[in-house]
Amino acid sequence: MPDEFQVKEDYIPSISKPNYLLIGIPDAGLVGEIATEFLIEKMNLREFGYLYSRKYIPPIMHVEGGVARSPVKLYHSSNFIVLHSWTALPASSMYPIAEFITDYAQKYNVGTIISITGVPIPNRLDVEKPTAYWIANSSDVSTELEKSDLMKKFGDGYISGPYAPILQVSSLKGLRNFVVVVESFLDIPDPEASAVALNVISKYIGFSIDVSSLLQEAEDIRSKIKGLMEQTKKELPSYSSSRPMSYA
Amino acid sequence: MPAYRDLYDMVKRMIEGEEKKVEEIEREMREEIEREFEEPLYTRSEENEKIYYVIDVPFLDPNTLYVKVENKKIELKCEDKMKRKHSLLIHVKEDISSYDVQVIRNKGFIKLVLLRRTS
Repeated sequence: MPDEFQVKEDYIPSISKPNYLLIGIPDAGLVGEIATEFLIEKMNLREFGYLYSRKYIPPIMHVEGGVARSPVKLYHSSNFIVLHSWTALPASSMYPIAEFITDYAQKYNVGTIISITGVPIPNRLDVEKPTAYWIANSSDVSTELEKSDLMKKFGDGYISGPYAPILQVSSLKGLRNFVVVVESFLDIPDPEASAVALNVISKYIGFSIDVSSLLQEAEDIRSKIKGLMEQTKKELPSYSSSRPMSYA
Repeated sequence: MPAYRDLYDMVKRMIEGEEKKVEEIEREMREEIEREFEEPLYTRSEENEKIYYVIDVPFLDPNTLYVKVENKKIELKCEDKMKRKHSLLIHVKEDISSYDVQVIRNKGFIKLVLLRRTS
């Protein structure tokens, strides 16, 4: 097995344009992970491949219906691909996976890479409906998102973890990428924040999805996904250990 | 019993022996608690003199909630509606003068607001 990320595809899906690549990797509040898992379930997305790497994927397999598969999988609909990780990834894998994702987006001629994450806020419990923000990898994408009025501009701050290198590497390769950032808990799963992210993404891409069950079953989801949050919580400090320093 | 050259040495060894026994009992108790109880997820934030803890206990049964803040330790025990037991012990660095417990009903969250002691 190789050190770097490799992909095994069962078949090559036919993806119509405009097409998108959605990324759900465990991070703050598991916002992206919960969102992509919900999409996979509710839209009956077809699994068509998986990633493998001896160095970057922990020695864990996702067992589904008695069959063990890699925890980092690829799914697709008619016009988008989802890369979904069922396990937390180490900080050392962030640039390699960004390289993989952007190469893969080029292979499928993906129009836009969309990442989903949370921005921890201290008063999250008092916020009824979390606000969604965007962070773009180029001024073109930024202008488009500003016009769309689906989310607020993130403004100034910093982003660390799996989605930061994707923003950078995609920009270097001339690919379009933005991150949907929703107010969330840091280390408690936040299905309500995922619901907000899905509402935004469904409007952006143009599909309909009912996220009410995500809100109604929030306690059940938090209970079931607790183990992944514990695993992710251990990785989170290493994601932000190199916070940029400034006087601002 | 071995012989010691001075009394201090003997007493020191005896105290160390007793401390080891206490540590062993503590370890066994902790393992017993871990077997019987689940540890809930929690998050911490601060604002001025207040320290906030949000503890995640999906399907919390609020009638079973027990919280004690004493000697820089938060001790929390509760059950959920499926009768699963949850226990959490958090060591707090700060001196706490008072605290308040809020249960967010139908959401499975417990909010602790601790007030830092100001000298």
